[in-house]
Amino acid sequence: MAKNTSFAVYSLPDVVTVINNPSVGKCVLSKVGGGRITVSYANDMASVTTTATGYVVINKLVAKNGAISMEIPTNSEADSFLRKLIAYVEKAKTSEFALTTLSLQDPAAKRTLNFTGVVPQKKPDEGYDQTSGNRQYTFLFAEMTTA
Amino acid sequence: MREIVKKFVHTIEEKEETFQVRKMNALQGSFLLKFVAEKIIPLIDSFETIFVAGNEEIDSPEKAEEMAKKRTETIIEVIPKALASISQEELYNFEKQCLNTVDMMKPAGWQKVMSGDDFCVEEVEYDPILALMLCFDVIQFNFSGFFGGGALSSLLPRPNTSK
Repeated sequence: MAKNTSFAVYSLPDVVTVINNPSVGKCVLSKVGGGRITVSYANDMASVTTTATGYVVINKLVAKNGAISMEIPTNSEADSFLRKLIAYVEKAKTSEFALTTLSLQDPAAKRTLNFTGVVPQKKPDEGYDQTSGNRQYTFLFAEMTTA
Repeated sequence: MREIVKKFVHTIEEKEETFQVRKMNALQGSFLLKFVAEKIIPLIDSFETIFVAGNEEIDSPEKAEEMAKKRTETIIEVIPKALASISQEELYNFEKQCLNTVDMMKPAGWQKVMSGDDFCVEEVEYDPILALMLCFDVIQFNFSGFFGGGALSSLLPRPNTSK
């Protein structure tokens, strides 16, 4: 069907972000304080090899893993959940380290991003100021699939 | 000291999981009481096993196991009858209100079963029978005094102590 409107609608509050770990539980981050989310792939999907004579070979590369970074307001419920999650995976058995999954459902775009093998890359920095700030959570993921 | 939380154990996939019910405040509790009075008291026959048996003395692990089994069986039998008289919206509200006061013991510690409209543990999210059994736990804990020794005691069948 052809688009008969000249605009699209985007709404971050409608994007449902769910993080789930079988040993910790599930949290709908977008309802309890989730903020800006950035997803980036770690690797390129193509590269080029050239010879001295100018012959070009295009390399098709597999790019599945990457990083998610999230801004979470200090002391929000989302913050408490992520602190608990990171504290748990740090101390739990190694086999449980990468069981966390994350999904981003964007109803406006009818698109769902599913991340598996989600692990905390580093613990977020702590900051105490006059007013509350956002904490930067960075997670690495093993694979992203789009549904 | 007033009892504020009570633990219940349910078996999920042959594994025992511990849940705790937090006591509702009086206002939330009266909403639940209204619901219970309207919809569940007509099913009072089954309450002997569900509520009163809980006050019986448990002297051996076999008996405890047997009673827990009987209780589960009765709850499963009662649920379809209870559901027939309840509209979908009422059921959603009721379950939501109950499950918001329940926590589940996870390897990482206590985790809320529901927060607002959202489930916070997958074990309950995809198990409607378990969700309803937890609702019964909530009613039992919040109103055990009412059903056991209070206003309704004369209506309830007495626990059979001669056996």
